[in-house]
Amino acid sequence: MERENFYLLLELPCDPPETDTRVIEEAIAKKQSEWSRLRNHPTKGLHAQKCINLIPEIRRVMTDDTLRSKEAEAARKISAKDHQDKFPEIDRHIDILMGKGHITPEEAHKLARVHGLSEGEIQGRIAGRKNEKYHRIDQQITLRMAKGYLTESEIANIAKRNQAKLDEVRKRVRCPVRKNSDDKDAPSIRQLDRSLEKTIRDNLKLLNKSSLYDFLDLPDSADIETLREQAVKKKREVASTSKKDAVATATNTLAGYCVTLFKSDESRNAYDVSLARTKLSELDSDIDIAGINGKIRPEYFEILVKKAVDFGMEEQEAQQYIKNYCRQKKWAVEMAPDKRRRIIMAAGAGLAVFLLLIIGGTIFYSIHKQKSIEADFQMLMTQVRQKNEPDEKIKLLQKFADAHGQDDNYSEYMDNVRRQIGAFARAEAEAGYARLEAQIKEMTEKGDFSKAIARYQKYLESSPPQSLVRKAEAGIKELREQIEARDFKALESLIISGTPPEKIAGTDRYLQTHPEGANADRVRQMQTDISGEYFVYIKNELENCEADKNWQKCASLCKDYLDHYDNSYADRLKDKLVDYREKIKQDRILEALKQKASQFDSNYDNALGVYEDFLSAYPESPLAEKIVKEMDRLRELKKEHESEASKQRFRRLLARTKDRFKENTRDVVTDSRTGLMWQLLDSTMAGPEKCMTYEQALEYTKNLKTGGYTDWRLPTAEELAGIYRQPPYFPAMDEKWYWSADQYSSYSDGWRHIVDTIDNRPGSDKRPERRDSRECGAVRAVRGEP
Amino acid sequence: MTEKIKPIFGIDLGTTYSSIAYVDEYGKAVIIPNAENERVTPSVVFFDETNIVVGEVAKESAKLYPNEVVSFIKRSMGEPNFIFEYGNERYRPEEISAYILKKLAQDAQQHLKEKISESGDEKITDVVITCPAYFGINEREATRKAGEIAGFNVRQIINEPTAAAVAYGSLDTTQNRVVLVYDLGGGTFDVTMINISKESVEVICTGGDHNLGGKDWDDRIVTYLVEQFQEETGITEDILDDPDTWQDLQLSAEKAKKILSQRPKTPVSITHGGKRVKLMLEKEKFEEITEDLLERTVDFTRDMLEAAGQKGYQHFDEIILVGGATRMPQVSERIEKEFTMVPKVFDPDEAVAKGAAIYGWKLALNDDLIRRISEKTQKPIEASGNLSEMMEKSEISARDFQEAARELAEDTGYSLPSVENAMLRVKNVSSKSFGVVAHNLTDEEIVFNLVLRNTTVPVNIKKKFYTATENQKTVLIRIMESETSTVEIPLEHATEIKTAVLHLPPNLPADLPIEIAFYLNEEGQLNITALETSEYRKIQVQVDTASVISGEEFEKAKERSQNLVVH
Repeated sequence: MERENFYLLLELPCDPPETDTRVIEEAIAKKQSEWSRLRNHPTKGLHAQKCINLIPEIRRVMTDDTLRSKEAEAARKISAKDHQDKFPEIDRHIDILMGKGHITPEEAHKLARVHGLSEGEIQGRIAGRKNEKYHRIDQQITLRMAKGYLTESEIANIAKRNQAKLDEVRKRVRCPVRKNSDDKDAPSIRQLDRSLEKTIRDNLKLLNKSSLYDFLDLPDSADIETLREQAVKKKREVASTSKKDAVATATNTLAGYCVTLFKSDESRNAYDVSLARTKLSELDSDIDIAGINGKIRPEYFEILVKKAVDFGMEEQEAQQYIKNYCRQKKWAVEMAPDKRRRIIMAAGAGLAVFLLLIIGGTIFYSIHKQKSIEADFQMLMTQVRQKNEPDEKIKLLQKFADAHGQDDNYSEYMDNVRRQIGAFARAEAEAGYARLEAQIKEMTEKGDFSKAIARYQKYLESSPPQSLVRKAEAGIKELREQIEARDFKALESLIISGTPPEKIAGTDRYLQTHPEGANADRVRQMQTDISGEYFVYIKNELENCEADKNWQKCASLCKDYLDHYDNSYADRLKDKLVDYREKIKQDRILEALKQKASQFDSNYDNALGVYEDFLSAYPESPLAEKIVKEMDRLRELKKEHESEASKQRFRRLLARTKDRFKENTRDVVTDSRTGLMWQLLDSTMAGPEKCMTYEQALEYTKNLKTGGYTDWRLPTAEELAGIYRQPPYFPAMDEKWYWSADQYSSYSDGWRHIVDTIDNRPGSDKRPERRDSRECGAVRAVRGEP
Repeated sequence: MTEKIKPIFGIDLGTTYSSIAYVDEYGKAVIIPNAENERVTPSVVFFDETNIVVGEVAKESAKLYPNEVVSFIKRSMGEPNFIFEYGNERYRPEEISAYILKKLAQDAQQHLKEKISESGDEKITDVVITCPAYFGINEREATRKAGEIAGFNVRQIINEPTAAAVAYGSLDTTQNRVVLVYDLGGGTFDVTMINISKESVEVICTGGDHNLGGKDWDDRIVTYLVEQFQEETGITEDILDDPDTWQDLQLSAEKAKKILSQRPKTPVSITHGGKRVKLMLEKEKFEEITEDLLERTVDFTRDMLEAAGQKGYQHFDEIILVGGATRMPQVSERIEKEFTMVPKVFDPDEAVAKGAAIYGWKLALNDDLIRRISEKTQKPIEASGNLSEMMEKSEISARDFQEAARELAEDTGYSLPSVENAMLRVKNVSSKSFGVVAHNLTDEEIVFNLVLRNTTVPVNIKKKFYTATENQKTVLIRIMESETSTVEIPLEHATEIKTAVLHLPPNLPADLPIEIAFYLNEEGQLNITALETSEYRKIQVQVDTASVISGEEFEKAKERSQNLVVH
């Protein structure tokens, strides 16, 4: 678990972080005392105890500059996240409670407790939410004020939309209210002079303020008295500064406007209406841009509506406003279709004139051209005659044809050119074929029939004239017949002298190359004739592969026969094939298991687990026997591995005995003090048994051949204790005690056989402990003179 | 003529209640009541401006002055960072415990003075203090320090179950038996298997939790009451944030628990912030909300029995219940169900103090016998030596011993057999494993346990460390305590309790073995000595433990305590 952040735990400021070690130390001491008091608190006791134990760590981190700054960073992150996580929820709760128009102090108190904040914080939050709400209301009022008045229904709408009371909204309206838009009895609206409006706007812009209210740093809803007072104050402020720059001037000007405009409700109202108009003028200017072409495209329209909604209008209202604005400007909100048609007609007339011009020019030009064409043709003919090779002549003619083939001026020469191309081409083809024949002849004489056929085929690919194609095809046929005859002859001799698989392969080969060959039927008959012979061969082979357990090979032999024959032998092999396939499947499973098990390398328990899982899932599997064998092998490996690890560990421990115990012969340790030689590993680690009775221990020792010695024996208790009692000790093993050679008989409760044993654990006094010989213990064998 | 031997008092310093006992002139262990004439004194300290008040008054004051009252201090013994701040002073658990001890001794002294007017001013100096068997090395040392701050000569710290067994064994010593002591106190739980015979009390195995006791049962009631209060009133705040409410509920819960040990239900009222809720707490509900705690004690018992089984003790003859919390009937019911044996509730509140007193008395007799034998034989004998050991080693003849015993019996009026029994042997086991930080084959830091828990103490373990570099100046040994029975354990499973710094003599070669002997005595104190093996010089070992009050702080606490009268 991640520990708590120390800045937060100590309740120290983290932004900016407290770094004064004196203050931090004080905070720690304070908390230490607090946690100590809570140490036995029924519910907080545990946390307190945890904190008490953290104190050294807290001190370590908080007194180290680097660690502390890291801690502060982490604290800041946590606090920021907490705040983010918390506020949307708090705001939602405030909104709900504000639904009735206000929040009682009791509610604020409860909210504070629920969210673990101070009441002050919650009040601040509530004020913020209120301001936000009022800001929205003000925005919506302002927009509607631009026309100089608000209607009752507009006010009701605003109230409803903002979950506010009617009175609340009305209080904020700073212009006359009419019952409806065509209320004739309503007082007329005084409007601010446009120029005045502009001056104010420009000055505000200079100071980067949005309104006179903003300039005075007061809300739009501030009462007139306050506004005036603030204006006077501003004026005095400017007066007192010695610098008289643009800002000072603008400030002065605006302060002056404030004093006058905020003199009466009427004048203020005029300003408010103007302000609203300014707001709307922003939207108007956007519409002006969109309608720059005298129309509003649908996509612009959407953007404008969205913008208007942002200003505080409702969507329908926004749409209406934009449409009305456009109507005034006589702009279409969508593109008019009749306009498009006019454009197309004008374009058609232009095109006609253009074509006429081109036709006239062409006629004039063609007459002028005729003479030079004839000269060209004559020149070509001369060049053609100069060339010797038909393909070169063709090339020249073709080039001419390509260049002028489309030109009507050359049409009378073109036929001539094409005729010449044809004649030259035929001559060229005949010559080519004659060359081919010569090559083929050469090949057939050498017996290269296939090569000859390939040569014909290559020739055919070059799309020669039809007459030559027929000639070449006839040539191929003749060659094939020659090949077939040759192959059949070879096959006939193979059938007499070959082995069965060779015979089968021979017939297969023939039938593959000459499926329609003259002797195909005879060959098929030959294949049928050797079915018995081939079966005998297969059977013998199966015996071999079965002996090798090469099921894959067996299966492929069967399959081979089955591919050729469907007779009673085949039926016998079909059964076998099923059998082999099953065996292959099992082999694959085993292989997959081995593969899986091998991934664990020396983690033999996991590897064994793979097999155990399989066996428990398929207890009847034919693989069970093999798996059990494999598991035995793994267990053997595991034991070896463990024993090797123990040996290594043990050797390291031995190395620390400072020359007393030395492994001079592998797995045999000599005690330099006594000269006795000890088994490096005890019976539990080295031997096959987990633990053994005394009788088994004697047997084990007798059969022991460690290090090549055969004279191993059980040590006396004294010898055994000797290696553990005086330092440097023989390293202790997991085994708790060892059998010694000292044994007694006891008649206390029936016949009992008692043996001295020596405990090898730390803390034992190494005095012999007598045990029943039937208990299960371990052996550390020794050799040498007692 | 009646001579008196200097008595050694037995003190049971409990989490919630403490008591003091001594062996009277008839050889019988008796509890000495306090100034309020109560046999047990709440272990609660109230800092009342310049006065220190201990006991019932302090406990009752907790409701009114929750921030000036300290309870359950025993749970923080050995916790280095527990600090109680009052005024401008900071107090460690040892010092607060010392005030409790002081109150016990002061009142006992007063009581004895009134009772045995002829003996004049009997000043209590020598004491045996008990601690849970499950206390580790630091907690024991802290307990001893508390006694020293109170101005006592702390003769020994003995285990509470051992003390209970001594008291139990003293009733009838004709029979050898193996006893399971289930000790559920106010704040700690111990379960111990003890072999009691005529000449010895031998601990076989021990286990437990020093953060589980009657108080946890109280806490469950408190939590339950808070919930009920919230449900009834709809108040969602944590009323335990208010220290007054917390203390009030803590006391109500304790009372309710005691009543529920006798009756099926009890009314409880909860008052907070002007609201008051009354409810009826029923025994079934109480048992339901605390069932897991009881189950934990049974688990610990099973674990301990398993460990005992591994030591070859498969069987026990009786179960005795000590500690106030065993008065809850569900405890004996559960134990009976688990072990199909009716447990004996044995003097739950007083057995430990009495056992400690008997143990102290035997120490005193032992001292006196040694003095007599020494005078008789004109041989100097170690003042608090072990007589039976000396006799075994033939340092003292049986004849000299018997003669001295007879004289002592005559002079004091104690019976001869009980004097001869002063040679009672107490054999203990270590309740924790302790070891040192070492490196294993893969060079990871591990804890190598030198003494496994439940090893019989005293035990002497030697271990070699090697100097890493030439002319190495110091060796740091980190001594770790743990609760496993494995030799090698990961570092995070153990707690560092001490560090020992060996200051090596100059010019030692590299790789020189340094033989370090760790001696864990019968009281669970750890002593460390070291020898370098080139010239076999003794190495200075500086043992440092922040967990227990020491040095200047200790002296200051002692001085503060000396000039203090506890009320």
